[in-house]
Amino acid sequence: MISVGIDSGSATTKAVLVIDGQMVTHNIRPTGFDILSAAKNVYEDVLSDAEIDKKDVTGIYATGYGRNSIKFADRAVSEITAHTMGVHHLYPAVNGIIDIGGQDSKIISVNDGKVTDFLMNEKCAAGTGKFLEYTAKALEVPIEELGRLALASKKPASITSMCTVFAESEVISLRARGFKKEDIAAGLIESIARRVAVMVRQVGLKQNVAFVGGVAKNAGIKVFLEKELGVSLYVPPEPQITGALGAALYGISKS
Amino acid sequence: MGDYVPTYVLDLPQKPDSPAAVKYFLDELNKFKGVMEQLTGNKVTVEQLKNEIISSNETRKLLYRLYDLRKKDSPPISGVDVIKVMQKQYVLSAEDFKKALRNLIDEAEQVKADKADYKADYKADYKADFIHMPRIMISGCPMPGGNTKVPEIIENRGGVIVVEESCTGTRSFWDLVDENKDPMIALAERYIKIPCSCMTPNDRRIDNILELAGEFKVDGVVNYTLQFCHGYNIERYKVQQALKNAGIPVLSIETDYSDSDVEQIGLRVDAFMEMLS
Repeated sequence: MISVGIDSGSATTKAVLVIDGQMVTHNIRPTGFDILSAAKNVYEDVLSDAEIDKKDVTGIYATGYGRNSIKFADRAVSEITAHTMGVHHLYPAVNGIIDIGGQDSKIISVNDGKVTDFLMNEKCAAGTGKFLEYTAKALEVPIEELGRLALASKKPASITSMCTVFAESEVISLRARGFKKEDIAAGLIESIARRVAVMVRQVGLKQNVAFVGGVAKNAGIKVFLEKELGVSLYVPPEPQITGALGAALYGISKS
Repeated sequence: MGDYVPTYVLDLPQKPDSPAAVKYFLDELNKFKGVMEQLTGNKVTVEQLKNEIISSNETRKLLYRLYDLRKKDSPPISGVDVIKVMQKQYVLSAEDFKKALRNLIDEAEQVKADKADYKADYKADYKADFIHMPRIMISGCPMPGGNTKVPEIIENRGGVIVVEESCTGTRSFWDLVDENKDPMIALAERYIKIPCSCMTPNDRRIDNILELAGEFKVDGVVNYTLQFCHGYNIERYKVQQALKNAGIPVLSIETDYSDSDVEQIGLRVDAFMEMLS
């Protein structure tokens, strides 16, 4: 049984190819404006990577914001269920998930692979990848470097704005007051960690928590989140693809 | 506002259980009666009031019947349709509304459980009849005319709304006004009991939500808050706790009248439906 999961996210599109319940390969591309071609491209990439012909694919399952626009998919599933199934496959003992993506963050409570409760940030960009992307720009630091830079800080600056636009102007005024780059970076990440921690407490996650989504790739954020929450987090080797993996597994469970 | 239209602010005692509350509210209603008499030039008589109370109670009894039909395993009418019906009662005259309501109830009573023809409108993904759909209660802020965004999202994504705990839902008809008492006292007693989140303590609302959840066999509750209606936002915590303890999942949505968050809400609702089914 060959199943492909496609996660059409706000920033990146991901595909995972699963054969007989095992993940074989994956692909990640920027989503761009044309979400359908991004989805087609990652789909074709995983097929050619695994040397599999289109006609041998049992099913294609879509998740992510663009899930209903991927017309060649057989079925759509929400990211919340998809991430839960993907993470459960990798870490069966996990009972909580923190997913921070390009435009939202989700906190999911899990019991035996099933969603029991979840919470998402409101519609603004606070506590998401977008927040880091914008504020990193004000620091003139590539987004990939932000986490590492923050880890070098001994005295994180205090960033009080939750709003992405206001935080950016807060960064500019800290910069003008002569704060070190690493201290501002640490302040930004601390503010995200605090924001996420509030949601984690609301849902009541305590231990065996996984951290996924594009933002989990940023080394510093995991450290700050762990400090804020007081637990260590499971981060998969490729945290960006648990949604696509889960969609593929969801498809199998439904067919 | 008084510069534009005649305005009278009716002062609500916010602790409805305190002994003086009904008395104070009655006093306010009497003052309001005076204002209305002056404004319209009509005298409010005991007899007229009694007739209006009887008429409004008739409407309430019809609404009870309509809502009773929704307790069926396969409700004969969608939640969005009921919400639109409820919105009409603020526009139509009492007589016109009752007439339309009687016709609707007669029609709805004829619908056989297996003939839910609105299922054709649902996404290919959710071909189930109402009978297989998660039964949803919407609880919280009112939904006045034009505001069906969240209910439409719920029913387009595989849920069926069976009851609305709000001032445009059950709270508008749940208790009858006593027809045998002095009409002003009866009105004061009926309306002071409405469990709006601006009242304190408001355990009455929590008890009512749990009661409705049982009566309407609710699978999940959507706690609906309009932005800046902060009473409901604060009370959300208590509602969530009470429902969690009763083993009923809750999805909280805070929104406004704009369409900007339709997709974001859609995602939460999709996930909630997947969680319930």
